[in-house]
Order: sequence, then C-alpha cells, then structure tokens
Amino acid sequence: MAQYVNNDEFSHWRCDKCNCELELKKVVVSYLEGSFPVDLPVCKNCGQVFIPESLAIHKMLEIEQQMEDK
Amino acid sequence: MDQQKLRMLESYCIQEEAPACTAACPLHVDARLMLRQLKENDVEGALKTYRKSVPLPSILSRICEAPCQKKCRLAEIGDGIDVRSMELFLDSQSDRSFLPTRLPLKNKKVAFLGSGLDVLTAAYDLRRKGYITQIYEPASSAGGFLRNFSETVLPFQIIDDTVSLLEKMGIEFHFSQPIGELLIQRKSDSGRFVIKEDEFICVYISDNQEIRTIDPITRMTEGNGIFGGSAGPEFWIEQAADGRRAAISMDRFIQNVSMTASRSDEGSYETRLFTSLASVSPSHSLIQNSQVTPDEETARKEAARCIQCTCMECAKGCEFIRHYEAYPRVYLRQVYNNISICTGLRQKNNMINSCSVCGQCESVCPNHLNFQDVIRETRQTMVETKKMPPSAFDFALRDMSFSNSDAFALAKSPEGQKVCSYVFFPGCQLPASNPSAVEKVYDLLQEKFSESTGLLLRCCGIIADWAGENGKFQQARNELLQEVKFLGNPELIVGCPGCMQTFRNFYPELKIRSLWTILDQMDISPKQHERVQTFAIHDPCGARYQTEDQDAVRSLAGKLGIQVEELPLNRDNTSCCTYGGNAWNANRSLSDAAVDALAAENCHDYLTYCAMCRDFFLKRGKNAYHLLDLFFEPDRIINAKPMPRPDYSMRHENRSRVKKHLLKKYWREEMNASEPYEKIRLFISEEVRELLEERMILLEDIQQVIDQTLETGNRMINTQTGHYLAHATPGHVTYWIEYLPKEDGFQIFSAYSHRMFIEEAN
Ligand code: SF4
Ligand code: SF4
Ligand SMILES: [Zn+2]
Repeated sequence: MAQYVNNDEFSHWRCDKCNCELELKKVVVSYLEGSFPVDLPVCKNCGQVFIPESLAIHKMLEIEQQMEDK
Repeated sequence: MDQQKLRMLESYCIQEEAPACTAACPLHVDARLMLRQLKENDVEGALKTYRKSVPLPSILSRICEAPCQKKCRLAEIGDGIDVRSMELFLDSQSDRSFLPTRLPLKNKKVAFLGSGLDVLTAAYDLRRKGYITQIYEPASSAGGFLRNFSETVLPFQIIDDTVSLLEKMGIEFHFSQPIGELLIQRKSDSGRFVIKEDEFICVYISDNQEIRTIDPITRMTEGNGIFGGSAGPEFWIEQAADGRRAAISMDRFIQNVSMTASRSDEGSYETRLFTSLASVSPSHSLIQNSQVTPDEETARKEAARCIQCTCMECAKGCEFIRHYEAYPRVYLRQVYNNISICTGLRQKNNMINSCSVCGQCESVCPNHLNFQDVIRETRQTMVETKKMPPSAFDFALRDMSFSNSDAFALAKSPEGQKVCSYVFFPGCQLPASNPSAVEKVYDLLQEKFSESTGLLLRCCGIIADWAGENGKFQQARNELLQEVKFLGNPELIVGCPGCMQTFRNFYPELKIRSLWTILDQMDISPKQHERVQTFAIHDPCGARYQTEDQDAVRSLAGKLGIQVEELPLNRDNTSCCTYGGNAWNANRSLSDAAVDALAAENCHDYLTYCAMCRDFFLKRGKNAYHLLDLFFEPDRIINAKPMPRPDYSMRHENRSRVKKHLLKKYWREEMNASEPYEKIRLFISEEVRELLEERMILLEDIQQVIDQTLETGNRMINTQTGHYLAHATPGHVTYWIEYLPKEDGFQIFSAYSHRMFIEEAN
C-alpha cells in the first residue's frame, strides 16, 4: 500500500470538530476508472481526511495525469 | 479518421519531399545532408552520404553535368551550389582502395557486352547484390567513350584505378572480345544465354545499333532477358542512371518479380517540396574553376551556402508545431495512432489538446492542409469514447457554463419593445475584460445606429466545440438560437471576432454584422492627438479570412491617430494567442511560450480587437490594448497605460456586474438573487490572489468550501498557526482552503485542489 505522507507533515494538525489527533489509516482514493488504497492522515475519531498541500500539488497531480492518459 | 483519410492528408504535407537538388540528381544524392555534414566538418559522414548513392565516385565527381546545381533553389536568386565540386573534394579525401560491401556470391550469372559508364554502373550494382558478373569488351581496356575525355578532366589513371577496384570486387573483365564474333546463343529449354561456353540468366548489350526499342523505365529490349543502353548519351550522369535502372530490372527479372512496379521515383523529377526564398539573400559560388579540386576551406564555405531547403511554413508562426519538434505529417500519424491504441498510455493526449485549432497552418501551408479539423474531430472522438482527460478543458468549460448561466446570460429587447431589429452581442470575454466598453458600445449603437437594438449576453459555444464536446456545443447553439427567436430574429451585431467566426461556421441561419464595420461607418470623430502613436496590430485568429473587419479595424485605428505596424504574419495568416482551442487550459507552459514569441515580434505596444488576445499579452508583460480600450479612452493612446488585466475571478465578477448594471440602467430591473454563498466576504492578499490565479481557483470555489464547513463544522486546525483547513467538492474538483475568520468574513492564506476523489469514512 502506498504511503505518501510523513508523520511530520501532519503532527501539527488536529481535527477541529472532534479536537482529536490524526493517525495514518487506509483510505480509498479513486479517479476515472481506477481506485486504490493509500495511507492518509485521518481524524482518530470521525475519520475526516487531511491532504497536505504538497501531496495535492505534486504526487496526486502526477497520478491524476497518468490515469488520464490510460 | 481512417487509414485512407490519413494517407490523403499526409500527402498534403510536403515537408518530407526531397529538396530540388536531390530530385534533379538522377542518382538522388542527398546533397542537402552531404553539404550539411561538410559544413559541420564531418568529411567522413559527407563521403558516406555521397557513396551511398553514387557507384563510381572518382569518375562521376569529375564528369557529372550537375543538374542539381541548375535546379538548386539558390540558382533562382544567385548561384546554385556547386555540388559536384564538393564531391570532387570529397573524392580527393577518400581512400580510393575502399571496397563497398557485397552480398556473398550466388550461383547466378549476368553478362555485359561493352564496358562504358552504363555497364560499369550496372555491373557494380549487380555484383553488390551477389551476382556473378562478367564483362566482355572488344577493346583492350575498359571505359569506352569515357576515354575520350581530356587528361585534365578524366585522367586514364582514374579509369584504370576504378576498373581494378571493380575487379577486386569480383567483377570479371574479358578484353579484346570483338562483340560480333561473340556467339550468343539462347538455349531453347532453359532460356539461358550462352557466351563462350558460359551460361547467363540475362545479358546487357551496350550501344548495340541493332537494338531499336529499349523500354526507358526498365531498359529491357524487345528480347526477353536482353537489356541495353547507349554508350554515348547526351548526359553522363543519365548514362550512369540508365545502368542503375538496368541493374534493378535485371535483378527483378532474375527474381521473377514485376519489373515495372513502383519505379516512379527513379531518375530526375520535379520535387513538390516548397521552400520560401523570402528571407534568403542571393549568394555567389566560391568555386572559381570547377575542374580543379577545391581546398577544404573553400569546399566548406561553398557547402555552408546551402540553405538546407525545407518547407516548415507552418512552424514559422506556430509555437505548437515548433514545440513538438516535427510537422503536421508526423503529427497526423501520431494523432491517428493515439486514437487507434487500445491499451497502454495515450502519450499524445497532451499534444492533441495543446493545438489552438486556429487554422493558421492551413492558411500558410502551400497545400492548405487542414490540420485544425483533424484535431477538432479527434477531440470529439476522445470525448465520445470517454478518453478525453477531464482536466484538459474543465476550467474553460466551466467558464462557458458560467457565461450561459443566470450570472451573465441575458436576452432583452429595448424597454417597451417586444422584439428588436438588431441585438448587440459582445461575446463572453469583452464584458470580462472591459465591462464599461460594453455599456458604451450599447449606448452608441442605440444613439447612432438604431433605437431598436437589444442586448444578448452569453457565450457562442465555441469553447465546447474546441473541447470536443459536441453535445454541449449543440446545447449552447440551440439556446442561443432560441433567444434570438424570442427577440424576433434580429440581426446580431457582433464585437468578438471569435464569435463572428463561430456564427459564420456553425450558425448559417443567423443574420450577423460586425461591430467594427458599423463603428467605422459611423459619423463620429474620435479625439485626435497632435502626436501620432505607433502600435503593432495583432489580428485575432477569429478574424482570419474576415478582410472587411481587418480593414475596418485599421481604418478606425487611423481615425484615432494611431499608426499601425504590421506583424510578420498578419490578417489571414495571423497567429493565435492560444486562447483558441482552449490550448491555454491544456498546456500552460506552451501557451506562455507562444505568447512570448508573438510578443517579441515587434517592440511597439500591441493593438488588437479580441479581449483574450489583449489579456494574454498583458499576462506575459507585453503592453496591449483592445481597440475599444482606446476608442473610449483615447488618452491611453499617448499615456501608454494599458487597462489592468482582470484575473479569473474578476472575469466572472465583471460579467455579472455588466448584467446587473445594464439591467438596472436600461430596464430598471434587479438581477435575480445570487447564490447565498456569494455573500461570504473574503480577505485575500495580493500574493494569495496570484497563487489562486496560478492554481485556477476562483473566489466562488472558496466561498462554497467555507459555506459548507460552516454548515458541517468539518475542519482541521493547525496547532502552530491556529489556521483552519476545510475542504469540499462542489463539482469534480476538491478544494482545500486554509483560512481564519476576520471581521465579518474570512482571511484566506492558501488554497489548493485535486481531482482525485477521497472516499471518506463519514
Ligand atoms: S506548411 Fe507545414 S503542413 Fe504544409 S507542407 Fe510545409 S511542413 Fe507540411
Ligand atoms: S540550397 Fe541546398 S538543399 Fe536547397 S536545392 Fe540548393 S543544394 Fe539543395
Ligand atoms: Zn474528527
């Protein structure tokens, strides 16, 4: 399973709704015809996902572009 | 596009045709390559290129009549390249004992009677193909008429050396064989020819008076298996070429395959290659005496005169064609392969989506290859087969949806009139770029043109057509036609050249008229300045083939006291700013490079008559004006102060404001209430605003995320900065907004987005 986020990228973020820490957990992401699991930081309580900026603008963009050309 | 259409279109692009020199050379020496290699000091390479086509370099480099030089394009304006002298130089540098590669001998024999240039050439070719090759010559030495040359032109030594080289290749010479005494018999059973107890599959008889007919293509005589040539033709190089033709035929004869199939490209012909000499200055040959071998420096300098003939007309104005480093013939094949591929990566998607579909290449192409429609159709196929990358044109398509939504779209006859005779159609981007100009034009039209002029605000639909979204285009078209009908079928007064072109191409039922010709004919005297100001005029791609508009705009500029300079490619040949085809959306770096190249063509500020052209230039730091910017604010002409360029969010806001303002002013109506989230107040620094522009995130996207988080309470908090982070997916894109509440609104610190969908637990 792919892991794209390091601990220090989310250790200073908390879920504001639950006032709860985040932990890496398996989350399914999908685009076009494909979906796959990734480890992403989520709220331990409610499961709200956190995507850091660097992940969105680099790795995710790259994968999106690859999947678009399939 | 099927195979047949592909081939047909490919044949329009003549970039791969041989240059004039190669086409004129009966042996098709690749002189262009050879001269380039020589110029680049690659004597070895140049020699290889020469030898690849020429069988007997030491002889031919001395006596060839050089039809290439007469046909060289440079001969039209000065001296053609003296290619043969270059060959003479190359031969002087070569290892004369060099033996060409040969196939191993097969047990198949051919015979030649005579040993002139034609025979030596054919024997050379056939021995290389592995035939046992015998030459019977009545004289005591080989060469025939070649020995009539003076020693200064073709020394005997050169002929003798060549013959001994041929012998080393394995060709057998039999001298002092009076042809008349050679008894050639043909065996009735095998059809073989018997000469002096040896048997041959076919024979070649040089300069035989008795042979009357020789097929010019195959060199075969009336006798099956008997080939022939004349030893003293008008041109030596043609004689060598005849020998080569005969060798090809004899090989085919022995292999029992068609002797006539696909031979049209043998011998000299006229090339289809187009090469513009417009920017080539005449030059003169550096070779004083072409009988003397030039020294290396002279040879290189003469070679450097070659202009490396090529077409590439379409690349001159198109960054897209330059960027992918080929030309439409290659692109056609790539496009075809990309849509035919079943599995694997469609590597050319991005290329297909980066074309501006502006039609410049068709206009400048000597054969008018219509490449833009191939791209349009390909994009349609990609959409139909669900292979279009969703990110390619999404932003542009959403902009079109905005224009055709209540936020902007409007169709009104003047107050108190049910229908109207005319309706002003400013398009979608002029109201976004210069909203006040829309109002001023509308005032002017009502006052000076016709009181019965209504207002129609929306997008013509071209964005959907560019994106390959035929369904969306048809919908936009139908809606527009519906509105026009509702207004009583008025004539449209169109300000945007792109819309104008779209109406001409796809709305045959509409009556349309150009704003520019109306303004030009109006009796108005725009403010004149003492000083005449110079601008370079950039025709938008939508104005291609619209001569009347092109003229009207120039005439209007003159009345404003503007002197226009023309760009190298203008009017029908003009370049696109890359708004066309939504290319800017699919490939932003290419778009920037294209605008930069275009902006660098003239140092003056640019004057144009398309709002997007103006804003694309401004974005890349080039001062540019829409003609209406100057028409209504002539002070800008001498102040050299362009209007500010609105960012993407501002383009939406301006459009809505135009609608709101004009509704109130002319019809005393209030605009329908907008979405509640639009009331959310945002505080955004200049820096963050630029980031949003770069990432194509609109204020309304941010408002929607905040609106949603206010409702659900879902958000993260940064324990170091205290900033909140919320996300939402209002459409196909998920937006993440970092913010803090401020006063009665929110301060935005950052925003980013992705298209991938996160399956969240809650
Ligand atoms: S202009 Fe372009 S498309 Fe036309 S023949 Fe030349 S290289 Fe080919
Ligand atoms: S300029 Fe060069 S490529 Fe063109 S015809 Fe002359 S020798 Fe050939
Ligand atoms: Zn939570």
